[in-house]
Amino acid sequence: MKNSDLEAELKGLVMQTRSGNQQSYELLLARLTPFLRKAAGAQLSRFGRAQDAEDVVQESLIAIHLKLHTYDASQPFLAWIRAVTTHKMIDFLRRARIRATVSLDDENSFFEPADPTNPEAAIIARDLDILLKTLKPPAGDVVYALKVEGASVADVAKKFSLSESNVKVIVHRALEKLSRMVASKPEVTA
Amino acid sequence: MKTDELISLLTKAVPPRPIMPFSMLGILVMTASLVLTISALGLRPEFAVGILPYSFYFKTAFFVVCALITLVALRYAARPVVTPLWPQRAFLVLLAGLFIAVLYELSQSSLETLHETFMLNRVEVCLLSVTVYGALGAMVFGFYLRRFAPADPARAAGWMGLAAAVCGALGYSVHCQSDSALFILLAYGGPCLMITLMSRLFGERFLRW
Repeated sequence: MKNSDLEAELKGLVMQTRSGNQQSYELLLARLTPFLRKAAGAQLSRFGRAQDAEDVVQESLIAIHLKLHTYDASQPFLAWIRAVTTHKMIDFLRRARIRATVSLDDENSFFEPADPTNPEAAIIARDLDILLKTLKPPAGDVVYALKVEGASVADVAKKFSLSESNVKVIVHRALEKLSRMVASKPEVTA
Repeated sequence: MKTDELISLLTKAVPPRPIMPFSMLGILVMTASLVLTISALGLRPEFAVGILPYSFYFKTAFFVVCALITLVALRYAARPVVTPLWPQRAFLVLLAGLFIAVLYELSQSSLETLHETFMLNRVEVCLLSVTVYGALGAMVFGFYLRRFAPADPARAAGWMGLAAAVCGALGYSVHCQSDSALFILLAYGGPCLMITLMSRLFGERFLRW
């Protein structure tokens, strides 16, 4: 199923749930569960805790039940689901006293291009867009061109009328700032 | 418990919804501080005559705009997704305007006049009142905010404290006879800043979900 179809289906179910339709709500949770299970399993397996995925799924479902009113209908529903699931994952890791870090040496993996066949591609692209907009222009565009589009330093320098050394400095500072932003969560810095 | 059983349990009722929007909560806190102020301290004398200086309207407008911006920021901060930055920037612009007004006032007034502004208007009553209103308001906001899902609980707690303090300050301002920008910055701004920092420090754990 295409990401846009899934988004439209789930959004429709949410709107019906808000109108008081219990059957739509049951269908919504049933449709979300495999999605949550896959996301939780994939994330927890990085920390060797794949067996706890079902616990995280159940906590996410309870959080969805209690906090569904915080979803803004003008925004993608899958982005909201991802935010809730990520929060529950971080909570679980905090309780399990697991510290997670990501290496800054491999800068290229920080902005791995989204796989278009991945249902989360739209959400990743949106979150990335929001992150890059926090940078002072043209840093966001420079980082995107260099790290996501894969342009060379020379091409980026020519495009933005900058020297090559200036481009490298801008990218280095931007990635430092973004790393600090990501690392601002106390226990999990992944 | 199996996940299917949990889904059956959760779907026995539709998801809960909050009782009222944050703006209504802000109005309630402001009204409570207004009622307390009038009961304990009374209105400023100009109300009896019915002629208020323009500076009072500017002060009131400043607090109303502050309250609106902080309540909007709180509404965004209460959600689990990334929040837009425009409320924060709008608030900083408002603060910058206040600082410019303060600089203008300092350039136009003598030290004696400024001293009188603080001494004659019982700055200690203002500091205490805004602090108490802000603290009580922050508690009310805090219990309500626990129904939400802030992406960053510390940030949400900060906005919660600031919104509560500004709403409380708005209620108190009907008694306060000083409309001086410097007075607003120090006598109102000081307690608001303190409540914001305290909320951010201690409210974060309270708002974890």
